[in-house]
Amino acid sequence: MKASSYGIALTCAALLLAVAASGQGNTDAGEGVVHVLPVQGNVYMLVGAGANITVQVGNTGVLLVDAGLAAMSDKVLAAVRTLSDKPIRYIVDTTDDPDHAGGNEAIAKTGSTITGGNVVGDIGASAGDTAAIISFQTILDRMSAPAGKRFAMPQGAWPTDAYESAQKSFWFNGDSIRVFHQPGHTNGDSIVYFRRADVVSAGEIFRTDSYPVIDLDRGGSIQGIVDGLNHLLDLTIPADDKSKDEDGTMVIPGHGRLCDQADVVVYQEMVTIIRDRVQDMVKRGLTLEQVQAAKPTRDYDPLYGTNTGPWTTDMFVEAVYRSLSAKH
Amino acid sequence: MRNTRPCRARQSRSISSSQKGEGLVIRARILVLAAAAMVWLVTPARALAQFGFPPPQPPVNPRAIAPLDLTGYWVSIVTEDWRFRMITPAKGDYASVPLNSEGKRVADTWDPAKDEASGDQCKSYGAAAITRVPTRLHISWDNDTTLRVETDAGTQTRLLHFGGSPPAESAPQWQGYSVAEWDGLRKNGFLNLSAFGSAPGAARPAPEGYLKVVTTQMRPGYLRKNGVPYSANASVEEDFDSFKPPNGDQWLVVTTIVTDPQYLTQPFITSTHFKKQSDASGWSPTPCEAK
Repeated sequence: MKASSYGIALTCAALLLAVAASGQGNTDAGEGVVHVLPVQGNVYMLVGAGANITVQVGNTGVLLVDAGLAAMSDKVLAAVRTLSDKPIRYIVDTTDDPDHAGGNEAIAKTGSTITGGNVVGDIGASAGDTAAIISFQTILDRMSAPAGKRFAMPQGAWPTDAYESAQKSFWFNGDSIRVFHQPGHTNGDSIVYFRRADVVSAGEIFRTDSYPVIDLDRGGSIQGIVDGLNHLLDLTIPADDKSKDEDGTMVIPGHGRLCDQADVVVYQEMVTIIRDRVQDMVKRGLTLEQVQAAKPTRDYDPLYGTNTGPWTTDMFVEAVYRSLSAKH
Repeated sequence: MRNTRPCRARQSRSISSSQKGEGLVIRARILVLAAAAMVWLVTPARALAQFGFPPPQPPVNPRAIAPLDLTGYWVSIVTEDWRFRMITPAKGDYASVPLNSEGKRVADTWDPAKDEASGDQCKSYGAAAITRVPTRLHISWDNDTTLRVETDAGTQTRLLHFGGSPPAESAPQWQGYSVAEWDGLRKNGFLNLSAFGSAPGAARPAPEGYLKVVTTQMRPGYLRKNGVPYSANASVEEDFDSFKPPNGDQWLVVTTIVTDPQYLTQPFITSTHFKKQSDASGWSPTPCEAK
C-alpha cells in the first residue's frame, strides 16, 4: 500500500486489523462490523460480513466478489457506499456457501445491470433493475434446485449470468476481470483475477484461518484444492526483491488476512505435504481411523487446526482421505 | 535586504562631496552608481532573485509547515510478512532478509533465554524493527521541532528531531538518534512555502510531502524476533506517508530501509501499514518479550 500506488496491501485473520495488535481472533461476522481495507488500485476488501468480500470501484459502477451473509447485507451496502455512490453492477459468486452468496438477493436488487440498445428491448426493462450475478453454471444449478417444494435459494439470489467454460472475461472500470472455474472446495467454485489492479480474489481455494474446506458432497476434492493453489501461484507475481520485498500481486483469501504470493506458497506447501502424507497412507492400506490417529497434520495444527467449530482437523483429514481413496 | 539601500545612499553622498571638478564629480558619480549597482546585484539574495529564485525565507517551524498530520493513535494492520510478525519464526528462518554469511551465522545462534538473562529482551523492538512489530502508535509533538512516537508493544519511545545532526558521541540506544525532515516539499531547490498560503484566512492548499527520518546510533538488535540481526553500524531511513481512501479512513505507510554493511548484502526494505484510530482505545503498554 504505497500511497501512490498505495495500492497496496493488507490483512486478515479475520480482519485483520487491529486484530493484529489486539490479539483478537477471527472476526468473521463475529463482531457485526464490516471493515474496509484498501488492497491495491481500485480494489478493496470488506471483512466481517462472513467470507471476505472484494470490492472494485470505478466510474462505471461497483463490482463485488461475493456478497457475504444475508444478515450482513445492510452493513455491506453501507461499507460499499463509503467507497462509491455508483450503482452495483456485478456480483461474482466464488461459491454458493451462505457466507459467500447469502447477500446476493439483497445486494443485487440495490444495483442495476449495464444494459442498452436491443438488450433491454428484447428482455424487458426489468432486466436492468438488479446487478448481474455471475457464477459457474453448477452454482446456478444448485441454487435453483428444488429442495422438497422450495428452491435451495430464493430466485432473486440466483446467478443471472452463469458460465460453463473454463473462464469468463469482461472489462469493467478500466480493468480486465477474469473469472476462472476452479473446483476444489466444491465443483462450482471460481476465482477472480483483476489484471490491472493485480489482485486475485481466491474464494475458498485459499484461506488463512483453517485447513481448506473440502465439500465432497458438492464435488470438492483435495486435488482440486492443490490445483487451485497452483493456479494461484501461476497468476501471482511477487515484488522485485531488489527494490522491495513487498507489493506484487495481492491475494484476497476466502477467509483471513490479506496475502501476497509468499503466503500462498506457504499454504500450498502445507496442503500438498498433507495430501502426500495421506496419499501414502492410503496406498499402504491404512483405514481412516488409522490415518487420523497418525496425525498427518500435526506440525500444521497450531496454525490451522481446531477441534471445535464447523470444520475440525478430523473433518479435514477425513475429507482428504475420502477424496484420495475415492470412497466418498 | 531592506537595510542595504540606505547604506548604499549614504556611501554615494559621502564620495560626491569630496570632489572639486564638475567632470570629476560626474565621473565619480557614475563610478559610484556602477559600483553600487554591482553591490546591489551581487547581494546573494538579489542575485538569486535575478535568476528567478525566490528570496530566502526565515527559519521554518517544522510543526507549522507539516504537510501531514501524523499525530494521534494508529494501529498496525499486518498485511505483509504475517508469518514473521504475528508469530515468532523458527531459528534460522530468515527468508527475504538479505543476510550475508556473517548475518546468517549470527541469526543461527539466536538464544532468547540468553537475551532475557542479559536484559536484552528489547532487541527486536529497536528502531530498525519497531514498525514491523504489531503495535499501536501514539504520535505527538514533543515541541515544535520534535515528534514523539510511542509504541504500546514493548513500551518504546522514539524522538524524531527536525534539523541538526546526531550528537558526535552518545551512547547507542534501542531507538538510536533520529533526524527528521519534511521531504517532497521542495520546488526548484527551495522549500515551496507559498504552497502553505500566506494571506491570513487564505485557504491552505493541501501540500504534498512526507516525513523522512534517518536513524543512527542504535544498539545492535533484531530485524525479526527470531534473532535476524542488525548491527551497531546499521542505519535506518524511513518515509512516513499518509493517504485516505474514499471511505475517509486514514492510513499511515512507513517505508523502512535498513542498511547494514555488517550483516546485510543490500538494503532491507519493508513497507508497514497503520490505520488511524479515533481515540486511544486498545492502547495497552506491554513490556518487551524476547520469545
